[in-house]
Amino acid sequence: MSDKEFILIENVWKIYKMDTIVQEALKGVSFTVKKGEFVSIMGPSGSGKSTLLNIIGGLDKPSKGYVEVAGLRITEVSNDAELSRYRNEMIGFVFQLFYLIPRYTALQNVELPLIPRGVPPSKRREMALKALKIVGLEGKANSKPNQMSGGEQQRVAIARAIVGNPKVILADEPTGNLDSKSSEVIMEVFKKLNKELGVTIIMVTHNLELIWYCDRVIRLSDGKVIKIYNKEEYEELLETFIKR
Amino acid sequence: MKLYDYASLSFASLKERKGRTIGAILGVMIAVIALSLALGIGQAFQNIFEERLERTFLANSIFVTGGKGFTDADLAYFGNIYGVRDVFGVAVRNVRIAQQKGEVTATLIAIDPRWIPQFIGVNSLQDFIEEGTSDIKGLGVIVGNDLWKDPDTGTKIRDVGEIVTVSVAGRSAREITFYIVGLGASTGGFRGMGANPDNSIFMDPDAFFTYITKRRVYNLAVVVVNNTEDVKYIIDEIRAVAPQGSRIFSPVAMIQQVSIFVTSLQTILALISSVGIGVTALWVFDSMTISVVQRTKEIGILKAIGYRSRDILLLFLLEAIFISLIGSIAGLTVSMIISNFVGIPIFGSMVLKADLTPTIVFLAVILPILTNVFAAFFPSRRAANLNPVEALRYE
Repeated sequence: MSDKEFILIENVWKIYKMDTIVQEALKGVSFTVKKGEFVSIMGPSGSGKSTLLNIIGGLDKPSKGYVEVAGLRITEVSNDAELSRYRNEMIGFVFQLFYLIPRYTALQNVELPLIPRGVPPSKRREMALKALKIVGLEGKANSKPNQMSGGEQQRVAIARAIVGNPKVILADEPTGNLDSKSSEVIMEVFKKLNKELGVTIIMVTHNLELIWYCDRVIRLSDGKVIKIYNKEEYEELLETFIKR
Repeated sequence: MKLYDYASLSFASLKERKGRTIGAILGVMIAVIALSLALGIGQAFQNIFEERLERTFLANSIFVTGGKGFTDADLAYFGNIYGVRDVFGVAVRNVRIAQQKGEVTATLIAIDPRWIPQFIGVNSLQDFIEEGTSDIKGLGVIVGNDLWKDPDTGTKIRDVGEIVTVSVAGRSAREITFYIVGLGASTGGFRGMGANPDNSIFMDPDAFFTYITKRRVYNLAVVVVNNTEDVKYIIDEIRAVAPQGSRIFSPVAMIQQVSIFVTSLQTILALISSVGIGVTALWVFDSMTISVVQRTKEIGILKAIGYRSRDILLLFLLEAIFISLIGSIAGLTVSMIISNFVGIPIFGSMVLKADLTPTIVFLAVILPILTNVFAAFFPSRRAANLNPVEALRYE
């Protein structure tokens, strides 16, 4: 594994079969992501963005192809314990709908990923408070999700994603449910994590305004990579979307 | 992941669903009360019954009756059989006594005083003698409770030192006057080998064969064995040497039969009360199934952040264990209080209270846990095997 091929996606296919209906969600997707890179995946609904993210995160298996993250060939891992450890130690998920557990406080939600690792309660608390501080929510540690705004809930979700110092953050439409002001706050948090802590981020988004935070944009359509845009090609990308 | 963490996560989940959790705990509690009390009452019944029978019928004895009676030589034969610890004879004669309210029938029993406790079913001779002494040499006798105390009013009608005249019926009919050396305590009128101790007069066998009859023949021979397991063999030996027409009776067999009956009764009671545990297990199954459906997204979240299928399975099973444990402890506490304060009157003066032995306590805790864990296993396994992507998408 080199830093240039920190995440390696090679000819990944995902085919869903239901009775006689066969649906190809991903059709031979290939690309690489460098260590510390902030990459965005864009494309219309049903283009396979979330499926790809789930495969990288070890939540789903590709029908065909090869995926390697930080030297771990996750497509070859079939053991539940090993895959769970991969999700727990290497990956931090951020979802569009936050997915916090309502009965727990912000602090308890952030502590959750540390429990399977066997981190002692006092250390857990310390690490969770640190993560909440990074996202600017140390004052809301004892608030429950229903006592917080959408933007705050998403920041708690980000704190939960980073509390275990993952190598990669996978964000699926993280601002999809937020207003523009909250979206900006969230993106600033991602930027901080990426630039200051060197976390590799792959973000699925529809929002063209967010591409300026990213180093590269991978455009997917109909399960295929249409083009990978570098920052200098963003104008071209914007034009493509405006024309449509 | 440490056990403490599993426990605290499971407990938090139970706390969130207070209503259903309390309902399930109450169900377990009621089932445990029913089961432990059923088993406890059965146990107490068995204890009392066996103790009563053993005391009354001399459990380690064989009774030989009938025929033309037994001589000292017969008793000596019985005593020589391997495994026999002791042999004693009892001679019995019906007599009539003139009381204040008219003549009554009583039983004159000739027996060595040291065998009286076993014969009438009391722990010691002191327990039987309410007043006076047990020294029944010569014409000195112990009279049963109903003969010295008016059974209707309870007033004393005879006393130690007084004389009592009895009429002996039969071929050698005559009147004999005894003097009272002891007054017997009430035995509850329980009849040991056909004799009611409360209505009997106990006298020295030597005096009996001098003043009542000259023929030294006992109506009953009691063979005391060392080991009840040898009873069958000793009965065969007695049959070989006993006079013709003798009937042999062993309480051991009867006690065993009664014991089997009581055990069966206890089992049936336990089975009936186990229905409660079955119903609770169904409740837990239902509750867990609903919980898994309601928490599908949560399961997806936990899997996404690195919880193993095994962790999810244990979290759900622990909920069932918590419900069972809390319900069992609460149920057992109630059972213990009930068993201390509530009893069923039995054998007149006795009160039957549930006997919660360590085995019963263990069963009352372990059975609900096992059945509820079994019931919770299937929905828990379903939760553990959920596909995380599908679980997260679940609405």
